[in-house]
Amino acid sequence: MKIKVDGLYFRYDSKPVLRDVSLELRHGDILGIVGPNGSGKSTLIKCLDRILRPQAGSILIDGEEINRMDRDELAKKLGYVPQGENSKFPITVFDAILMGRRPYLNWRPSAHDLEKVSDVICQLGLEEIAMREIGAISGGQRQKVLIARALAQEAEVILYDEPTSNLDLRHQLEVLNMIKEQAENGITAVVAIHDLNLAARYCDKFVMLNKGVIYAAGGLEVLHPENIEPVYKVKVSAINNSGNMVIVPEYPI
Amino acid sequence: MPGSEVLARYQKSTSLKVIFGVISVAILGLIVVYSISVGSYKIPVSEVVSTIFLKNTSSAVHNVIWNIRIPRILTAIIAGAGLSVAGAAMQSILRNPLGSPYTLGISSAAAFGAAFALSALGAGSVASRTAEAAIIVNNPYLVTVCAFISALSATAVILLLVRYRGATPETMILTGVALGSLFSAGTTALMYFAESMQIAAIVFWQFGDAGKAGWSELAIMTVISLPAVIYFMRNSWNYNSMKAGDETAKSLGVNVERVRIVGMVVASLLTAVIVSFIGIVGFVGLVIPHIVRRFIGGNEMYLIPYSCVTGGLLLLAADTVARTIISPVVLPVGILTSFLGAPLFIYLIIRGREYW
Repeated sequence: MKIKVDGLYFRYDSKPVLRDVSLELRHGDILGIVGPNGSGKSTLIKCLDRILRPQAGSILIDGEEINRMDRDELAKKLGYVPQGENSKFPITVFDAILMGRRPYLNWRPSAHDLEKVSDVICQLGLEEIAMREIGAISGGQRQKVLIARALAQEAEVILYDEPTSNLDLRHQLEVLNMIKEQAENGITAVVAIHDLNLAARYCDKFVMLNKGVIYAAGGLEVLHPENIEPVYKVKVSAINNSGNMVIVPEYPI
Repeated sequence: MPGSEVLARYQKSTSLKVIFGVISVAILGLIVVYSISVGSYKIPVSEVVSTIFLKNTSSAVHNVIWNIRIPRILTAIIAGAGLSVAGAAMQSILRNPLGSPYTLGISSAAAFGAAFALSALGAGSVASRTAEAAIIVNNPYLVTVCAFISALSATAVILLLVRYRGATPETMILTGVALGSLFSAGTTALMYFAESMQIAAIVFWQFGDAGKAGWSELAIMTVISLPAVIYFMRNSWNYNSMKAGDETAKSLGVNVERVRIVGMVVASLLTAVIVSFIGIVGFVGLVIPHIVRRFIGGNEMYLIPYSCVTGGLLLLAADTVARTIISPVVLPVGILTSFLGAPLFIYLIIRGREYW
């Protein structure tokens, strides 16, 4: 599975949010999208999954333009994990994950759909909470349920919109480890992420957005202070901590 | 815990839901038989059964059962089922636990359209039976079409609000209050210009009463309700996804805009048909889906059909009580549902929050 984005342009009303965004993704990549608030990270994620329709540019999946794809076909290829979900209605964890089978089912889920969901639940260690109401579990568990849904969807690429922003330290690591494991299984990940240190540790490709434009793209060198300082307007220093790069913010500039 | 055990637990919860459905249908059957037998003319249950299945009783009993009781019972069931399923669908489509034909002002809009057809367009004529005025519907199609158009205009306002303001449940309900009083004012204006006999007829017509529909009206209601229910059931996984939010639903392949508009139009049509034949029956569409969720949870695959069964069951039970409680006076069931529904609605506001 290969994704190619070319010349993406998106605006809300008359305000451009993304301008001339181009990037390429290959099988098993973990692409970190970083950038300050309002730089267009979430918008880019939503454009990739056709939740928002860009005004110009093209997104190709294996050479096929996503606007020409059937909705269900697109949903079988691309999964989307929102920042959080807050439903006003009761639903069990199992049913919330079963939703991921929607592109495959008609009137009712088949035995295969139910088995797939049970497998994913076990894979992510959610057995104990499978029959609980989604409103009764913690934020970290809920994020895992949303990931489980995308896995039940059998998507080849999963788009994560700030998966760790509402989580405590432990859950941040657990969720990112899940994403990494899935990437090792060949599921490509696109992760919009605020925390530059987590990004540095878990992602292998980076795109840094600044005011809707790609400021830098490539490998770990994207997170060099030379890039971070003008984009975030913060003085930072990079420290080498036994092989891992650690970014320490110092003061706003 | 292996996957098979997780699956087994899920399947067990599914069987419990199926049992709930079977019990509801059984209770509905019992109430139907009871309801046929009670009334100002009492018919023993044994005679009810023999009349329906063996057709060997007196013509008077036969007449009461087939021309009075059964049409009324079926009307109550279909109206209860239709309003409940419309409410359940609206709640999910709009992600609004307070959504229903009544709270969103759609019932009032349909009632205005129907009253307009009856008085201004002459689709009904007024007959005076002793002191009680009754309206005779000459053209049920015209009444329904007018009710539908009017209901659609209220629906359009709600949908525009959702589209451009991303309305919260509270805003939507406030808009519903505004729409409800607008259309009630319209109906009042129609009455102001009507003759006194017509006024009486419109007022009388507005009471939600299952006794107003005969076999032909019942046929129209059935022809609209059945495909509507099937449509909602077909969309149950779309609604499940939409409850998680538009973005999630889109990412799961749901054509959110189309599903929302078509669903609201179908729900409005259903409401319009029911209201134009039996008048306004408040709170059924709002309360029943919440009752059903308490028992079987929020999965639309079960919520939609069970809202139908439970709605039919409870409206029939309410109608049976309404026509026997101060016998021989037959109370319109709409009065009873409002008396019961309003406190339940308040209860939901106070207590229900924890599970919304």
